[in-house]
Amino acid sequence: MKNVTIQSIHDELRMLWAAEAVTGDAVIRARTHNLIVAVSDNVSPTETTQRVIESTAERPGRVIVLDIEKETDKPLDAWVTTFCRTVNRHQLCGEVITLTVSWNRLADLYSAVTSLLAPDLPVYLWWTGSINLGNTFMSRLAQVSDRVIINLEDCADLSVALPALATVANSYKMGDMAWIRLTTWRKLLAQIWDSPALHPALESIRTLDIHYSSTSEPAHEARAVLLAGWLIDKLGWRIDMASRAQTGGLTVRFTRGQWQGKIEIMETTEEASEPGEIVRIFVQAGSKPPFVMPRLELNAKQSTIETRWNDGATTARRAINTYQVVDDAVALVQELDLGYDLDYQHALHASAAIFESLSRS
Amino acid sequence: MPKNPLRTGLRVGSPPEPASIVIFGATGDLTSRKLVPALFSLAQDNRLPTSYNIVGYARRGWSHDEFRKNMLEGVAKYGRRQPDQPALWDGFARNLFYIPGEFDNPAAFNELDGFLTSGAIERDVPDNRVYYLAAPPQAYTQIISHLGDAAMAADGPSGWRRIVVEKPFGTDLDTAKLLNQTAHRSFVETQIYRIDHYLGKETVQNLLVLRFANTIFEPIWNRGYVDHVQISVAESVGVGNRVGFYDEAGVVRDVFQNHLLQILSLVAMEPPVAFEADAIRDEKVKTLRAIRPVTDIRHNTVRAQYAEGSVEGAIVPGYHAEPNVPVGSQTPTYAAIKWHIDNWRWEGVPFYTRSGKRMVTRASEVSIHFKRPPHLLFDLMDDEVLRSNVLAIRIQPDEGISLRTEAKLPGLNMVRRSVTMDFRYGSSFGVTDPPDAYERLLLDSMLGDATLFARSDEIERAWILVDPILQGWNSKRAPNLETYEAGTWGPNGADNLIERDGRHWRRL
Repeated sequence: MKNVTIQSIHDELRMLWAAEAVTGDAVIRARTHNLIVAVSDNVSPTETTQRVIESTAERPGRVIVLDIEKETDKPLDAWVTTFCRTVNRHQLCGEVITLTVSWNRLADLYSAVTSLLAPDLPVYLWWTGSINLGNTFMSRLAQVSDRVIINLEDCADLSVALPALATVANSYKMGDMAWIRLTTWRKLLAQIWDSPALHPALESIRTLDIHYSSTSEPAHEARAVLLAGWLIDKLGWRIDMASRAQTGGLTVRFTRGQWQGKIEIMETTEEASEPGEIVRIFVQAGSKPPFVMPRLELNAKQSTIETRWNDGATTARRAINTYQVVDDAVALVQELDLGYDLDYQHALHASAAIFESLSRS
Repeated sequence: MPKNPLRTGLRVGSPPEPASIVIFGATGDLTSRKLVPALFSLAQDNRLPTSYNIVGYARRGWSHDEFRKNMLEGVAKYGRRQPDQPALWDGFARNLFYIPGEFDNPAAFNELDGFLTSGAIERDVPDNRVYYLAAPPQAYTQIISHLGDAAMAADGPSGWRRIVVEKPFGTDLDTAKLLNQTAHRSFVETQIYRIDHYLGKETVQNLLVLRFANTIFEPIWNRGYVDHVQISVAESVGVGNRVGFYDEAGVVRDVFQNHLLQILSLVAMEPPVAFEADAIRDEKVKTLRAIRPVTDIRHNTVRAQYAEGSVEGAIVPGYHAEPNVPVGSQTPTYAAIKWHIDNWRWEGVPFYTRSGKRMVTRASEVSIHFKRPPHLLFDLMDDEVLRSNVLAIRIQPDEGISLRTEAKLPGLNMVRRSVTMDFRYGSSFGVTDPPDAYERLLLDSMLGDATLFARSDEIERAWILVDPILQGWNSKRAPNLETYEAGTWGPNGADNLIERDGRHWRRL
């Protein structure tokens, strides 16, 4: 549709649903939310739309994809798509409105988006690609959104993005695809320390190694840094110093009470995995001799995570858990389901503190 | 700092404490079809603790490896999660053990206790235990008594003990009381989890959410607005290979005493003060106490047996022609019962309940039929009746909720039609593989959450309600044992039961 009006978009949607009802089975539509997807210049709107459709197959809602073109001065343009898919013998239907506009017409886009939101449902803003937090358009959209979802791994420079995001997270409820992808690791780490025998060791961790899948992009250490930030916050560690090795590895020295330890975040080429995936976590807790020092090691292999640990006194334990690489569609569903996570905000602040310390060293 | 600060704030459900799950009757169908597949699915979803033991106990002389092999077959055949990754199955199977033993041999229980104690120490699992009675019901008393005699039942410093009891909970009030007394000699009530798998179904739990997380229903959920309530549990299958149990039990013991009265009490109960096991069960018991025992058996109950017919396109035999059904069996496979609840909320509102085998289709539903508008503004045609609003809660299959309302047809004439607004779980939340009810209930028993389990007083109250019916059916007051053609919605008598009140069964 060229030179579209909001009314014409609504009309088009109505016609499509009517056609769907005539040609196919009866259409039952359910909506649980509005999802605004802001596609940045380096991300394909078609691919993004496809990923969104995959996710909305599980959680149907009204999706508004914003394709902001930087090069041309073009007026608001729109595509309207309805789709129905069968999931577990049930038909799930959704609708996607794609709006295209040049960057200098963003004011038009903002008013269009807000008038297209399905009433009385939560609004989620998923900002794909690099994040420009100073962007007025984004901040206006964020203000009408119940949550702003980003992917820290899209940020080119964590030393810039983390402190900025930590500030923004004070104003908006933020979600992060990188954080969601840490859920399994956080859950397994927490589960190990449920054992009362290991509680004392939790206060005396002296080595934490986090290995992530290798890539040439430094931002892919984002997940490892967030995981470290979570542990720093949860375990009450104070960052003494962060340093970067010539090999690119990141070392964070910390103190807790009288106890000192260090975090090593390093890339590895050993495992075939998605860039940025955590592939191994190794924890060693200090203990006074003659006790054996408690150790914990989690290794991701194919679709499993193997955990080996001891409590410093008995033979080694081993457990195998399921591990799935979480694609964007699944991550988005989990982000929508789990809701706002205050722990993320705290982890973000602790992660930002690592880079602030790094900049001072 | 909390004991495990990494646990706080984690938005995924906490796993239960490490424990041993001991399954009595581990060579039976329930274990391989339901229990172990459910436990494997929980393990795959990372919902089990890092350390756990699953110990099978039964008469057959299986080894640990034979038990593992048989369970692998069961999981592959019936599991929601498939054991298609050897590493995952091996990781799970390492926790499976089998101890052969008789249910009537006290020494065997001591051996089991020794295995559990040493196994727990060796494998660094605290000696928490869930005993699951998947054995034949006649063995329950022996097993529970031996657990008590062997000092295996009481909570202690080494760990907690819980026992999960499968239905049937007795065959009448006296046997139920006896079973409860036996259980209470070894276990305290808070250790006992009486399982009714219906309560593990999503929609049954959603009933609580629908009623108590929405404000629009509660003000009209009473005699001022509700004309009547229907609860139907229809099965398309016949008696199958359960003849031995079923011919003794019949439909009332099999469905009404447990599933149906549990659902009825959830529909009719007052709001609990908290979403906690005892708060909810207190309200359910109050409701069961308020249900008027059926006195006029001939007038308010219907019983029937299915005859040959066609179900879902296939000719099926009548009950008497099913293999192993005793000649001349009078066991009802269908019942319809009209109940009244004598309290402020429901005075004068009949609850019509029905359940049967070999009906048109498998469907379980609660429907709330509201009163018609007190004054009619619109002209009706000669044969037209203004239909009332109906809120239907579908429990299975196709779980969901629909609301029937009246709407004007588009056009110049004032013509109305009934329309339904449907909320279907499957069409609103794309759940590709919802957890089985046993997963939910096993996990809850390990977590110590008894909300979805029945308490002893609930069980006994339910028997107080159904015993007079069963006794009446064995007396001269009994209504005729009707027959209904398989593949229909039941006998004529069931239609008469509701139609003489000017109402109709809702077509499922």
